[in-house]
Amino acid sequence: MGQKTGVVETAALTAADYTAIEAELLNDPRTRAFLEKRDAHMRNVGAAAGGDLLGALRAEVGKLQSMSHQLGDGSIAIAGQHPHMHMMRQELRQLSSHIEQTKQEIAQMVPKDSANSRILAATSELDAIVTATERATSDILSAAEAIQATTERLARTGHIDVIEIATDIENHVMSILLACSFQDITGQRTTKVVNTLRYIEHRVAAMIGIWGVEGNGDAMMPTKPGDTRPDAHLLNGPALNDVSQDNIDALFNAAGAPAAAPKPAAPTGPSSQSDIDALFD
Amino acid sequence: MAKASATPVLVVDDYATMRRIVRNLLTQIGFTQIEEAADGAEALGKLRGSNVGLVISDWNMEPMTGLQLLKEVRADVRLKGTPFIMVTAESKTENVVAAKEAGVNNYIVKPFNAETLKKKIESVLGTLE
Repeated sequence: MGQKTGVVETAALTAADYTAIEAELLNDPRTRAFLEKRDAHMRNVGAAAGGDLLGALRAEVGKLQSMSHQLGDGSIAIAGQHPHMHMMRQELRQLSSHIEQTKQEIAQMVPKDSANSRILAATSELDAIVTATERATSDILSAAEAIQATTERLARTGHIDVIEIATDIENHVMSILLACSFQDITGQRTTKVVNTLRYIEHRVAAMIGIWGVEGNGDAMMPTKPGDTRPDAHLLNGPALNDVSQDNIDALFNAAGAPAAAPKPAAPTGPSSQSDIDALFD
Repeated sequence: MAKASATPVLVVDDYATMRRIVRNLLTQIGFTQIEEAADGAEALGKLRGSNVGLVISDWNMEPMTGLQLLKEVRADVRLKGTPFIMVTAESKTENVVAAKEAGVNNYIVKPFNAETLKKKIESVLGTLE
């Protein structure tokens, strides 16, 4: 069975039990004296405990008041110690204002009437330049070829002086023909600009989409998808400065045989024909 | 032995102007069999359907570039020996090296002149005179 623990458990006491026990204790002078002494003792303990608690509360209130003062003075001190805080708030306000203004400006770039789109208009203008130069170049080539046919007829006359003149004309016509290759170079350059404009157009549309600014996304021209050609990384178009064929030749002749050719390192600037020829020797 | 200028030539360029100029130059130096293509894919079709003896090709074309065309030619059992000259505005060292690695026979940078074209053709096919 259960062991004795030596601890006397407290029994539940009803109000009636309490009254009955109290009356019984008060009947005996000895127990009554005990109760009176105990009550006096408890009053002293309670007063002391209350005093301690009150003191502690007062101390806490004092601390809070002190902290409150410190905070009040501190905010002034912080502002005093960090004068940039005010400037930062101003900068943030200006930044916010600038972003808002930019959003509005971007929205104006893509009005609902696509015909008024500035980027679209610029792209169309460049496309028109390419078309016009192509047509003009074709006309020049046709005229040059007609002159070539004429000079051949002159050469067939057999007169030595005429043949010399015809040869001279022929050389000049050849110069005209070669000069017409500008259309290829300028065409490639213009295409690069058009592609850049289309990229900007796409990014602007994306920004408008993110900000939810009203614009006509449908009016945007379809953006050319990323160049998937395997050698796209090698396609840079014409160099800004003329490249001499001699430098290209040197480069070409210097390059190893196909199987042993070195791997290209970092991208480099344009090469001349001499450089290219050097890769091939 | 047939003259070098009797070689059938395929001119590949996406710019009609350039095809016309190169065709004219080739005619001036004696070539009579000249075909044209506007990109690598069209050129490959023509190469497989005829007996072209020299390819003069631009690089930057769509959908198939000149470099891709060159690699296709070198990978084709029947076409792999076809002389191939790249004529392009791409003039960086890595371009020349990549073209040579792929097996190009010569490389001309645009804009070029008639003398350069003739000299490079002769270096590949032999004397034209």
